Amino acid sequence: MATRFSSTLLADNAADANFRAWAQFIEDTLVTTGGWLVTSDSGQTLPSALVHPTTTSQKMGYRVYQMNDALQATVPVFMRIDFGSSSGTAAAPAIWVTVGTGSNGSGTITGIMMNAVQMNSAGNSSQANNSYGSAAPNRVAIALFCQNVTGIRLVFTLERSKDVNGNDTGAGLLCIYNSTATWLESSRYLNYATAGVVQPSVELGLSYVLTTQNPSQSFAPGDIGVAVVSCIRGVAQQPGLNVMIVPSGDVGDQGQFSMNIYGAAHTYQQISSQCVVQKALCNANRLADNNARACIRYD
Amino acid sequence: MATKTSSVLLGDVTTDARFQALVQFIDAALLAGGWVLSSDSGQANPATIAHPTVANTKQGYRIYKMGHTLQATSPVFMRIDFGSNSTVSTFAWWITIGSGSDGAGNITNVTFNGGARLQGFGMNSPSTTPGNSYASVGPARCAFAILVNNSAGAACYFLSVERSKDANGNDTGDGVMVFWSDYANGGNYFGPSFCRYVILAGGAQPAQETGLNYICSTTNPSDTFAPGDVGVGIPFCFKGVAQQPGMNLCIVSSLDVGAEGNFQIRMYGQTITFQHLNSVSIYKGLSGSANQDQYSRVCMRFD
Repeated sequence: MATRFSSTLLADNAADANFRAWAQFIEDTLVTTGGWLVTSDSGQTLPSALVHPTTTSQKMGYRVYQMNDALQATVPVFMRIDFGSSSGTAAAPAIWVTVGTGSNGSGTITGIMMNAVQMNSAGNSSQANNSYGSAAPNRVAIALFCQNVTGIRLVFTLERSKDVNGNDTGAGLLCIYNSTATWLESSRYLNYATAGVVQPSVELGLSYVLTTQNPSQSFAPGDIGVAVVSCIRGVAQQPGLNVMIVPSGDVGDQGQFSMNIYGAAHTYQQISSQCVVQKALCNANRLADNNARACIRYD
Repeated sequence: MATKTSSVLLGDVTTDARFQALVQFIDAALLAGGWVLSSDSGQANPATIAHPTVANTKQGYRIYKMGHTLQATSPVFMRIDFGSNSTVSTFAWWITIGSGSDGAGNITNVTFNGGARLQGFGMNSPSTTPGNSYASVGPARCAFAILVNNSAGAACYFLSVERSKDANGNDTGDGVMVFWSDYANGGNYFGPSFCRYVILAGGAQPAQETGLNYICSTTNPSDTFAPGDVGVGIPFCFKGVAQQPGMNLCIVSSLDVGAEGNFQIRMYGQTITFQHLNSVSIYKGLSGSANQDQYSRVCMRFD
């Protein structure tokens, strides 16, 4: 497990160098930092060779990665990331994430669990931003362009499903991301793909339990509330470790904290006051939880 | 444990008989479920208590204590005052919780102050349409949902009190969890949108949570996967951090359970029956605010 940080990335596709820089950050987080492997599929484009997009929702190249943990031998996870432009503006970054159980050698993911979901940044900016990555061979959490001026960020996390002790299982994957750019709002439990498998619906609006008090009250032994995010597969599943939600009054802008979960201490990175979370309501409704702040695992 | 239902109670309390019927429903359910009436002086008789003639007026009170083994070391006393809402013809009740009583009707070591009425949403206009009412009581808990299908719509006088739980669902002496509805408490909140974890030892108390926290799928009806379960949301009380949940209420999506139907869930290794409360929905807690979860439906334990 390791982390990666940059204070120089721009949420901008207007120049090749800017486009390549944020794509390289994602690649470096996965491979250099996290130990994921790049597959031998043909047709891949090195981040350093990407050409910037000129129209909206334009894919300019892809990379195919695979997890590199012990479960990979029996329940392999392959992830293709296409790098390109957002649906709103060509100059704003976006990625498309496809997850499955293999690849066909020429860049096509097989055993699809999640199909080319586009994750957009909210806009483009010439302001250098803090970007955070944290990965291990069985998970990744990336928060790009975390500035506190406007909501530009692009957040994506993926990890294996958990048992009651927090150990990885081969049953599925937990994915949390911002798809509509304005909010961190999407979660999915991905059933591990077997023939005929049905996937749970996308949850638009995150499900978590957090006090309405802001800042939190503190009682002996002095802990304050931190909300884990539950992915839903019919019923709420054992939560992952990649994303936590805190009240704005509890953790400063882009501050860090340590907490125990599943019996182990982990470090979390608050990813800016502009990363506003939408909370789930019943019947496909959701609502901005304006004083909630998202944090990604950062160790 | 005991359950009680009524389909004849009215929110309109312009006669002694109507007012007494509401008081008797609450009183009988508590006593049948194992709560014990204290010996305090000055208590009202549910059979003779007079209906209110002035708005916002208490007409009389009863004091109950839990009839549970923890009562010896961690006593819970609850005084209920019965009276009128901001409209004189409409029912209201006041709840006060503490660790004892002084023998003359005053709760001592107050941990939940009954200064605020528990009013049902939509109850400001008196209704003469009968509503279904439900109660479920055990010696260490009680849950009431009164007038859930009143003509005012999403109306309900809701109160839930139960002891705090350990990780196995066993009662503990640390606190009680209280959920309630209150039309007058800060706005037009539907259903039991307020909760508090009450520390029985006294001292600094957790603040009231306006808006409940629970996890329900946004998919309505819920997706089902083997073995066929659907999601049920369990509300949490907070004592700084979320506490082990109780079993008195749960939240479902509107299309998962029929109006006023029953269903069973497994919780803490037990099978528990819940009663759907018709169109009663809830406010969901956000950080520093709350918002109606329009398609949520409140269910109370009913066994």
